[in-house]
Parts: sequence; C-alpha cells; structure tokens
Amino acid sequence: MNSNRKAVLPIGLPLMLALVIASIAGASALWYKTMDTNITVHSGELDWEFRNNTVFTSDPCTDNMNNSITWPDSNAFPPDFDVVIAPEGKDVGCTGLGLIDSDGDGDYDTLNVTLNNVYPYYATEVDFRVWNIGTIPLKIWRIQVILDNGTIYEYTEANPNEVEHEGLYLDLNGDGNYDVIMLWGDNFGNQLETGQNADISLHVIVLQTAPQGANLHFMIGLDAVQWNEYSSVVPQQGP
Amino acid sequence: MNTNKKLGAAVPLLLLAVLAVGMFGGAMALWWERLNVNVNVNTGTLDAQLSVEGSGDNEEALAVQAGEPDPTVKDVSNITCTLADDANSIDIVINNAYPGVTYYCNINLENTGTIPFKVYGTPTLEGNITTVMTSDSGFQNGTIVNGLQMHPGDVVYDTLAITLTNSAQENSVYTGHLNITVEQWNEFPTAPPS
Repeated sequence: MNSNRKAVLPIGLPLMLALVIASIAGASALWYKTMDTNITVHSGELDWEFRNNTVFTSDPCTDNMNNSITWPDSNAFPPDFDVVIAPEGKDVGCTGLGLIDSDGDGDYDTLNVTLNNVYPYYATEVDFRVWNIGTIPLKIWRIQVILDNGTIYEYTEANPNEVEHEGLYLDLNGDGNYDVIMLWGDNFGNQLETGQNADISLHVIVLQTAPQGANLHFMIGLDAVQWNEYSSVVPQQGP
Repeated sequence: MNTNKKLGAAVPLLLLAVLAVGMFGGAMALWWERLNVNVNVNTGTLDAQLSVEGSGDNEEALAVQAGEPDPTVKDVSNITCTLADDANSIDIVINNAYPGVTYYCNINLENTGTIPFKVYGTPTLEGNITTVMTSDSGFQNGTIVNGLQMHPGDVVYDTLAITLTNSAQENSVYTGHLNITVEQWNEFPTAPPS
C-alpha cells in the first residue's frame, strides 16, 4: 500500500505543474491580429498592328474595290535614285498590298508587299501606319531585314543611316549580285501611347542585276518594345 | 568515398541553380512584339523574237520587164531565210546570186517579254557583203529603227533587201550579219553592255 501511495505522488506533481504553467502562459499571450494583403496583378499587353486603309503604295495594282487600275510606274535612276514618274507615264509593273492576321488574334500583324512584273529601276514606295493597340506605351525598337538564306541585317535608332539614307543593297537569290535597294523611313525610337500611331515608309528599287522572270523575297521584322526598357536595348547616343 | 559524396551533392545543386537561372532569365525578358513586312519581288522579262514572213527575189519581174517570153527560166538564183530554233537569229543564204537582182527576206520582230522595249541603234548590215551591195540594200520600210518602242505582244514587219553591185566577184562567198538590239524602254538610250 505504501509503495502505491508513493508512486502516485510523483506522477501527480508534474501534471499539476504543467496545468499551472499552461494557464499562466495563456494569460500572458500578447495581443495580435493578422492583416491579410491579397495581391492580384493584372498585367498589361504590348501589342501593335497594321490597319486597313492605312496602307498605301505609289503604284497600286488595284483600287479600293479590288479592281485593276492603270497607274503610272515610278522609276529611280542612279546615281541619286530620285523617284520620278516613269518615262511616258507607262504602267508596266505594280505593287500589291495585303494584310494578314497570321496568328489569328484579331489584328493584322503581317503586311505582304508584292512587286509584279517589275524591271530595273522600277521603284515603289509603301507607306503604312502602325497602331499601338496594347495597354502600355511602346517604342519602335528595330527592324530586322531577313533574307531567305538566313542573313539578317538589323537597324535601330543607333545605326539608321544605311537603311534610311544610303540604301540597303540586297542580293536576294545568292548569285553574288545585288537585286534590289531597300530604304526605310524609320520612326525608330518613336513612342506610341495606347491608341497612338506612327507612319513608316518602305522604298524598294529594282537593280539591273536582278534576274528576269524571278520571284525574289525578303522579310522585314518590325519590333516594338515596352517603353520603359527601350534604353536597355538601344544604346543611347551621346550629345 | 568523400569525393563521390561531394559530387553527389553538387550535381543536384547545380541543376537547381541552372533551373533557377533559367526561370529568372525567362522572367526578366522584356516585352516586345513583332510585325512583319513580307516583300515579294516578281521581276518581268525582256524578250524579243524574230520570225520569217517570207522571202524571194525579183528575177522573174526583171525578166518580164525585159520582155522574156517565159520569165520562169530566169529564176536561176534563190534566197532562203531560216529561223534559228531560239528565234533569235535568221540565217539568210543566197545561192547563185548575181548583180542587179534584189533578194529579200520579210522579217517580223515581236516583243515576247512582259515589259516594253526600244530598239537600240538602227540595224545595219556589216561584213564583206557590204562592199558589194547597193546603197539601197538593207531594211526597206523604216520600221525597225533606233528608238522604235514595242510593247508586249507588239509585232513589226520589215523587209531586208540585198542587191549586188557589179563589183561582186563570181564564185565568191560574201557574208554579212545584222544585229537588232532591244533594251528596256525606261533606260533608253543608255548603251547596253558590250
């Protein structure tokens, strides 16, 4: 019997102590309240497009109703390649334009320019307007002229001279001879707020060394970048 | 053993680091958007072809003028005009020719290209035949001349005539050639490359 009583005492004491400590601790807990901050980020969109009725050429093949029309060609002769109406106002070649929504997102992202039945020193000018249809401002960053053989020529605000003034000579079929000259009226670095637009022009002049009866192609990738990081992709010019 | 253990621990760490850098890099790409301008240049063609409309001589006519009862017996010489397969040249051969007879070949020139052209330079005969032909030999109608403009599909016709003078030698061979050069209309009269 004695042994049992002695055994009960040591077990009961720790239990008592634990209860006391627990009650004291609860009574001394600091006051606090958790405030929640829920963060939801609705990101904007950087997007731009071509639009119908804002794409023009100096020598159209068709009118607005898609009917063939007679329109005098333009020529540009060396050495200065000033564009003039072709001798006798002759209509031999023409420039077709087409807008494409290549990714099906509802806006035109591709402009097809097709020069038909053209000949040395035929010159065409294509003027088009680009629209910021995103939700954040953008800046016109660069163009990449991409040949079918993979050659890429890149121009930005930092190096526009060749493509803007001197003309970029292109060998499109890899035969070692230049086929066309391309000039770009750039608007590099121009900032477009949402809804704003900018005009850009493209000139193409056919050279004597272009092959006859040929289909030649090149692509121009026109890139815009978020306005606030423009300086990170285009080195800024010093004074 | 220790080395292996260290390597074993390092490999997953490196992988994690690479993944982290990759995700970080992806997250850091600035936003940009591309528009494309595709430029297709379909060049035209400058092309011309010749054809032979006919040929002959005036032997019988001369015989009639001379009162020959049977003028056909005077038809002793002849001319042939043969178009080459590429339609770019015509071989003209006059057999048993003699002075005073006019031999002719009626020639068509057609623009078979897709852009207009102009004739560069008035075509003239060259070669030693010119030393034994009359001054009125050559094209007779004055149509194929310097600056003649032809649009795609246009055809012009002219007669090339050759009359030998008395200075022609018997049993001799005289040769000549005549070039017709055409060039794109918008660069006329720039000389084509030689």
